[in-house]
Amino acid sequence: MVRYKKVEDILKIMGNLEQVRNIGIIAHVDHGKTTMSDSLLATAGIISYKIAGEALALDYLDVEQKRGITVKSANISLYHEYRGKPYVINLIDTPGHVDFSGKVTRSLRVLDGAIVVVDAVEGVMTQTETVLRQALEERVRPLLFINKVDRLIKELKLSPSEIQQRFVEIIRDVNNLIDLYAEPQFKNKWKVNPVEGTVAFGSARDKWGFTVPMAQKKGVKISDVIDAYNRGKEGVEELAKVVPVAEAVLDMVVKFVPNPKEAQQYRIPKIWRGDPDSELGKAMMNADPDGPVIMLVNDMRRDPHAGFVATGRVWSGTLEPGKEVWLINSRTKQRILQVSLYMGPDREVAPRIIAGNIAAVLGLDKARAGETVVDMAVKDVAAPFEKMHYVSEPVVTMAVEPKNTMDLPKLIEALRDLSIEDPNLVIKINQETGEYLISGMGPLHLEIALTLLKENYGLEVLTSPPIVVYRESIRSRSEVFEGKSPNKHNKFYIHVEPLNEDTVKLIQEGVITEDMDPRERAKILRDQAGWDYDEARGIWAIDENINLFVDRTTGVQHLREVKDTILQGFRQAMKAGPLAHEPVRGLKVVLHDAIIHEDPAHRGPAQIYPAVRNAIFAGMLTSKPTLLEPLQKLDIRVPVDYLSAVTAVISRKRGRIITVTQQGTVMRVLAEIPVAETFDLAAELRSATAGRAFWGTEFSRWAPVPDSMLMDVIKKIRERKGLPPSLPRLEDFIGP
Amino acid sequence: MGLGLTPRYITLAALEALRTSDTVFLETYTVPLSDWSPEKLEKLIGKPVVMLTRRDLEDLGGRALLEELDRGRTVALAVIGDPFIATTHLSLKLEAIKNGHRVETIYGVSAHCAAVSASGLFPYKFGKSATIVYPRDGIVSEYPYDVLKENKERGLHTLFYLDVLEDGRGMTVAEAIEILLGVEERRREGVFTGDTLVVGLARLGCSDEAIVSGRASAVKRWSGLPGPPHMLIVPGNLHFMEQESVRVYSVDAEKRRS
Repeated sequence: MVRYKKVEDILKIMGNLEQVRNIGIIAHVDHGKTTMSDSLLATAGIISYKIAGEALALDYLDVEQKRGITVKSANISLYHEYRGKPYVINLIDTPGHVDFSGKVTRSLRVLDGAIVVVDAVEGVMTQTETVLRQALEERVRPLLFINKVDRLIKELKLSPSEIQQRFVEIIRDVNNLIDLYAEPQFKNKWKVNPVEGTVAFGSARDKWGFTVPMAQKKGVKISDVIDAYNRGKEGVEELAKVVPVAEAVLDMVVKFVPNPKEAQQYRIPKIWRGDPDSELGKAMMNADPDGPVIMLVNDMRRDPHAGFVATGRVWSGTLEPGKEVWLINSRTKQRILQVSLYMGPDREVAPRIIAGNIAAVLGLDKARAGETVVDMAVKDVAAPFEKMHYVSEPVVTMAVEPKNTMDLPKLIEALRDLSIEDPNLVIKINQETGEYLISGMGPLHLEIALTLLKENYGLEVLTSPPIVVYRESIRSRSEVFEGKSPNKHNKFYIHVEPLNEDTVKLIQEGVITEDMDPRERAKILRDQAGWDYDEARGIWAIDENINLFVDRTTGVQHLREVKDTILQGFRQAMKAGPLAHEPVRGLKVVLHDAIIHEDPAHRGPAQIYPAVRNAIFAGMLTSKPTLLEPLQKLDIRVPVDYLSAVTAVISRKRGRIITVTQQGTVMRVLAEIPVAETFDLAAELRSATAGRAFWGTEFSRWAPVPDSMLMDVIKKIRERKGLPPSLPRLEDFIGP
Repeated sequence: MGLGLTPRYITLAALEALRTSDTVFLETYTVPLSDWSPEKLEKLIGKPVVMLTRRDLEDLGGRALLEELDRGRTVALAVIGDPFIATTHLSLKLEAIKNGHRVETIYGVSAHCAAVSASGLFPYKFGKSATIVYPRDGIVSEYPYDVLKENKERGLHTLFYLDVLEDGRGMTVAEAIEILLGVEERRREGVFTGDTLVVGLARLGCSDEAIVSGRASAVKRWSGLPGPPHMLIVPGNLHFMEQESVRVYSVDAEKRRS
């Protein structure tokens, strides 16, 4: 096989960074990203040309093949020749389904360029916008591939000028987004331009494609493409030989995606938290193979034979087996056992991988996706890469148990593995029932996890129906309440209020974190979220559901002694609110005063937790408490005739139409709809439109449940959790 | 009312109160039972005893007890040792008074007094006391270390009560020394080391009561102490008489004789 030879060749080329590119493909779901990856693979000589269209080699999990959606990003190294010179293109396949957006963001960080694949019929969709925005935020240069041009010819029967018109529209939409989201210095430089050759057109499935310069050189016109399709299979195959899609795309990549050395110059100052002028910063900006090792892990995956494989980009230094490295986030030392590069779905062992490349490493099983791996020598001075900003939060949960009770230990281990591989999958144990709960970003996300359990671990599981996760919150400021400990010897005086939108946003985006410098944090909150500086200085804790604890006391005796216990009490209270034991979100808890018993025996957790919780819950109950439900954004394309059918479905499901725009004969409907109403949405939309609607969804925001439904929703959750049907009263939290 | 250390230490006043009360409650969560048991108490006073848990007295605010009072009955709340030393029952007493009931305190022989007596250390020279508690939810209380530091600076003795777990098991002297040494390792202020002189006391008032003194590291290893309840004293500056008194219990037999 050719590929065994290629490993050495590729390693040699990797040594010269001018001949290396790190790219990914981003797209709205089903716009043809995986098909594109396969066509690229075919030319790189890793799988055969003929089956590339159907094999979906990158979707190497069965589950993905069945669904035709790529859910796990895999890394491959491709080989391409351009003007007689060999290049290695590291390709990271990013998942398109927005249920897995965390994963997309993580993949983007290690890329320098992204091919934005857009369906010629559907055009730019919500997720195109989301991933393009994320790419630009990471300073990843976009190139455009307009896919499924055959649909314009075969389905819509457009004339050459109409096809051209369609291209112009799509290019305009993409450039508008680049204009909107790119930083000023890249705005003009990175706009795509067909004449320049930063846009390609084609059909990834039929394996043909070209850029304008390439078409000119080879003398191919749009009318030739139409002719080819009129001639049938043979004509298309011939076309693919004249203008192979891989040549169009990889030429474009080599020409316009900066090599790692160029890219790291301007990307490091944006994505690395440390000082770019430091020695370490310079080593990374220059992708110095002799510099200290710095690697960003973007993917963790268990190999049944080798254990956990950490995949990521080397920003500086050279990875070699035997080397000891420091994991910044998990604060541990580990030894690299083996390094390899990717060839299709396989890893091939390499003696070393140098800065600028993508590597797979064995031996770093303590790492998680997002980990920064550094040389022992710089462990105390190296800053981690910025924390990942996730755009989505888990909104759906289900309980799982093994069909065979004997499998429980196996299930526990498998769930742990899955949550290491996919940090957006949250595994929890319900303390009361002993059930294992998995939470994800949407019903599909959970379904995939279940399939993985079955196929990779041989586990048959029973599940509860998926349940929407709610949040508890408040809509006004409470008075100060006194929370007493059960022994009545400790008292806390606390008020609660909703966090303002600006603060929520700063926390959500990771600008404000619990472990940052308090002065810096207070300054940002004062300048960007209207906080009083002194109050902001008193922030003690920020939890993962965006709740904040502030200390405004002065001179309280023993307070420092019980600070940790108070915060544990706060965190516990935030995990299960007073309305329905759902997590609390967007709450500011302010401690004004406290009285604390002299002796530790009488101020332990059993006393402090309830005291803190009681004051917080009393405050919440009196501040217009409500449940927040997750809303989903819906982006629907539908023929004009079916517009009213679609709007009827949306309004029946408590949805809200945001905009309706006409694009030719197709209407584009943007709407928002509660996740709780989406479980049978697909079926309803399909039957209402005779299958003529296309749509995409993504997480939009948390919004209050309508007051008219609130009590009913609360009642149902309480019932499900085995709580007393009636809500707690104020007297339950504050003593006489 | 206090029952005293063990059945042998119950006072006539306590017996009288128990016999004349309509209802007798027994609380056992702040102090290990030692030689007491509900059965022994029932046998002693010839009537049933109602056990109260922490939940009954704290979370439910002693409702059962207050309701009995409201029915016009005389109620005894029996506690091992003394009712108000190292407990939080004061809130209950104040609540009852607020509700217009008459409250009488029957003092008991407490472990606190017994420990002072047994050690031979002068009561005038004790500083603040503190409980050494087990780490809970990963939080280690350093307060006992702070108390010890403060007392030591002033030359005063420190009496430590030892924690009781939710299942009624009491902390041992060895565990307490271990916890203090752990804090020392973090703080490194030289307040409590393996060389610090300590007095360990076990099962005061029981037939197998035992007392031991010596360097913390030696006392920690000493296997002669019976099971809990235990207490720990870290002496401050010693008067020569105190010195001799402590030496009587030395782990080191040589020292004991001299």
